[in-house]
Amino acid sequence: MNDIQINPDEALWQWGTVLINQTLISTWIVMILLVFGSWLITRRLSSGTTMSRGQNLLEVIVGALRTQIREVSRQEPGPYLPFVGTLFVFIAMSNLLAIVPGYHPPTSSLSTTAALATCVFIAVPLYGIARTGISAYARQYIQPSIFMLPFNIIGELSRTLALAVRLYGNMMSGSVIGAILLGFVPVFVPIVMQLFGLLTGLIQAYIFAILAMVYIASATQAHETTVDSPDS
Amino acid sequence: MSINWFTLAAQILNFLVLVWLLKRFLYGPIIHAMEEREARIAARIHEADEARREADQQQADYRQKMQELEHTREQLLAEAATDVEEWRTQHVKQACIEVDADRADWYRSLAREKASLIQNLRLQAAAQVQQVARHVLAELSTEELERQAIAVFLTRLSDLDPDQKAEIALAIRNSHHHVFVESGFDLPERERRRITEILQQELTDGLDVEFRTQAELICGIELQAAGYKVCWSIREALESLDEKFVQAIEETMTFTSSEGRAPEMQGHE
Repeated sequence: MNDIQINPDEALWQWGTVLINQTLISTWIVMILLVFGSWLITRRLSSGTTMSRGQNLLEVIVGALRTQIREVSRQEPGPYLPFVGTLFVFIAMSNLLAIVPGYHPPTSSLSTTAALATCVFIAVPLYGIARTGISAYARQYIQPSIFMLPFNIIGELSRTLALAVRLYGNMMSGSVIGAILLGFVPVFVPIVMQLFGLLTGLIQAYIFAILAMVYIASATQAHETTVDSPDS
Repeated sequence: MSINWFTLAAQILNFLVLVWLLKRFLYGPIIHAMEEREARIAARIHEADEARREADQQQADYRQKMQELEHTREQLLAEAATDVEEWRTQHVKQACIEVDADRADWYRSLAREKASLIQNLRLQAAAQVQQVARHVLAELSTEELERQAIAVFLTRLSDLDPDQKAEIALAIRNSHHHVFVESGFDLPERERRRITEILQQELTDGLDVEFRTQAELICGIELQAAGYKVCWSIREALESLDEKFVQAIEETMTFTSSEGRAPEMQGHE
């Protein structure tokens, strides 16, 4: 039980405040796999009716992401796809690789999930301001009255915190439970738990990306409603 | 459950770099390929729609042309039928006219043949009657009959109108008083003198009377003077009979011809 590594942020190498830990290494591995795999596949793309399996896979993933973004935001997915799509792809790949022995998913680190939630926290007002303007975006914090301003700010912070803790909790708990069960019943049950962890990882990636899109969409659509019907 | 702030910052940076890299190597090329394919498929669908629209248009054009051809065919058939009917009617009418003309010619020819036949029959009958009558009268002629014929001749001469007598006498005088008296029998000298006397008494004096015998007169006697003729003979009676016989036959032929034209009139109706 003492071998269970609950915090992957422990430094493997440190120089002052600069350090390298398991989380960063896993993140770089995921980044390399994603970028290199994408480059391998997209360097020879076909716009015809016949295509490679890799291109077909990527088109299915990208098409599904665009469809989800379009359905959630009721907007064209173009501006949101890189951000929301990368959230999903990164989290999903990080979680799926958890099946590899010795790999520690970076999403089981609160620093990583907090970083992603922070990105969402920053991206929401950026998208809202880029689409509606700063004054219109700022005005929604005092809707329906100025007394709601603290509550709206608290709501922004709390949902960011919820994003980070939800993903972290699920992934960390999955790893911990798997490690604990490995101690009690080392045969078969950990495998089932690993498979169950794959499903959970995909679901968490989907939830994180969709929630981020919902937040962004609410920031942009709130302004549209205000501008479209200012009297209401 | 603690946050390493350096790791958090590094992860934010890592995520932003990953966003840029994936946008560069994943989303951009894949979306470009998908949009290019969609554009190509849309173009093909558009081409297919255009081709189908063109095909529909051509089908409509061909259908319209087929209808026009069918209409033209029916019109030509109707015109041909009309022309054939007119041609048939005209030729039937022409044939009727030709048949009527042929029938009329045939009736006329038949009438001519009938007339010719009847004429021949008439002539043969008249000749036969004349021959029989002449034969009978020649055998029955006697001296008494001859005297009676002379008496009748002289009575007829006497009974002439005075103006006629004067006219005949004038003609005789202009022809040098020469007259002919022909008879079907030989006149005795006594009868010749009595006839000469009566002629001079009734017409004019100084007559040069020449007597001739003509068997065709059959008990008859005839005076011929400067184109005038006074006679009595069986031949005259026979010629009168002949004329009446011919007249009766011609009346019968006229009636027969009028009956023969009736079918022609019915044919015209």
